[in-house]
Amino acid sequence: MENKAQAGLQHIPTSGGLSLYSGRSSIFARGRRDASNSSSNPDYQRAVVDYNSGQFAQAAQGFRAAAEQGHAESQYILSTMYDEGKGVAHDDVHAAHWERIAAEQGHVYAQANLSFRFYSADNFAAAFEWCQRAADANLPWAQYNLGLMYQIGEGVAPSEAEAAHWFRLAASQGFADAQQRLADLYYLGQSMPRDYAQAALWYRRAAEQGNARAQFQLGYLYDVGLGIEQDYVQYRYWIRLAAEQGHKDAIREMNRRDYRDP
Amino acid sequence: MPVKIILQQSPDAAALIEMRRRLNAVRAALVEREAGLAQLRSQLKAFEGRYLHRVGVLYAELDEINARITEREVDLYDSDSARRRAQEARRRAQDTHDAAFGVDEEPQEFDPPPSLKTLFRELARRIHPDLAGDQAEQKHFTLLMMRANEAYSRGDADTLERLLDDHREISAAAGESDALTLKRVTRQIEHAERDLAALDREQQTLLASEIGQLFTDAETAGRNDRDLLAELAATLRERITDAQYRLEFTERQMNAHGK
Repeated sequence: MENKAQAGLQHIPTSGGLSLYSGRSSIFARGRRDASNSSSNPDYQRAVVDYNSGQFAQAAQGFRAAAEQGHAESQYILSTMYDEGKGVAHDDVHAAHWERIAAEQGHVYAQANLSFRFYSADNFAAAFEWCQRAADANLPWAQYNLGLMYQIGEGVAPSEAEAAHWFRLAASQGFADAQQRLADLYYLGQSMPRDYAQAALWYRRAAEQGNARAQFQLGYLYDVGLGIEQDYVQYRYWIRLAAEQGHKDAIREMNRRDYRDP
Repeated sequence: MPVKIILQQSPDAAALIEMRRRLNAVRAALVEREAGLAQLRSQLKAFEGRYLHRVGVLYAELDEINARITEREVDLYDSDSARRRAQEARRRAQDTHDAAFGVDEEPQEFDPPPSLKTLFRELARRIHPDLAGDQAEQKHFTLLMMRANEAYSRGDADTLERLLDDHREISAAAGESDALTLKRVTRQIEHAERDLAALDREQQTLLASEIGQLFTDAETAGRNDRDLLAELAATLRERITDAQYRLEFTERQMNAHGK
């Protein structure tokens, strides 16, 4: 009798078709998360105005109010303010606290920062895990770092193929360092078929954004005519740009060239 | 002057009057609560429809574009991780699409097994409002009938059995003593209180569910002259524009590579 009394009537409202218990609940959860992060949060809006007018202490208060309501963007900004000691006293514990909450809500920048925090503390496994979440959400910086972690084998078993995958995703979003790393992989041809044309293409994209190693490599490819037609003018142009940035091999090359053809 | 003969009430009879009063009160509360819950349920149902129509479809669109981007990436550079990523994105897009466009469980045809029909008839015979002794009981029977109908239409034999058990336990025998009736009424009160508690639990579950909380958020925002669904839709449209741009970028890359 006791059991029955506890069970009572069961009003499972399936007849009305309310999809409380169905697979739909995730689409509602998503809406709720996005709604609580909407930029129309009044505390957040006020804090942004304060921040932009340099009233950092006041801005921090506003961001904190919104952060406590679960506003992920505010939580993230608040964590960076604690990191920089802007408007609040520098405080690693508070910074990590808000960063983590924002990251758990799916804030991509917070995830990337949290990953970096773990990385700096030599916790590679956790760093990898958070980096992967941010990378999955298409953050180029995280995709590049994830590629590096795969390359070195930090927090994960090393895999050049995985590294290439992530470099590529970041590279196609215009992330120069990733473009240069991807070009390296094409140039070396260890984990994937060697392809000098692809190497030249990605070196060029990175070089145009000022990546010194890519400039040097591109110059070298022009010099020997690998993947692109040999072009002495282009060779000199790119090697000089790299040397101007202090790239050692490029400087040596410049000196050698000055000796060869002053 | 006519003399009124006042019969000394037995203690049981006095208690019975009080218990009947309590029973009617708790049953009235039950009806109220049931009506309130029905309203909440239909509000949530309507909100769900609005949400899916205005926001859900945009999520579906966004996920579809994202799935296409990852698939183009596979076309561009085939690798295990690229393929895994594309599969995940496609699955997610499918789930969102199903959720947004109401590709629900198959609407099953209603064909109750004979045992359920028998059970329902057995119950209906006992709790039909026409059989009620007084007005209060009639009201209560109407409520029970409604529940029985609902349970029957979703093929819920457990609830029907429970209703029947409840009724058997409390059904009056002709010419029973006050003491027996008192026991019976006490049980009836217990049943009603138990049902009230069940309704409370259901209301809490409804409000604590994702849709329930979203509904509450939207109501709160509405009181501040904000339209939560419109805000959500606007943000989503921006994200869709971004994704569309990324898709076009990936496709341009494909053309550039001549693949």
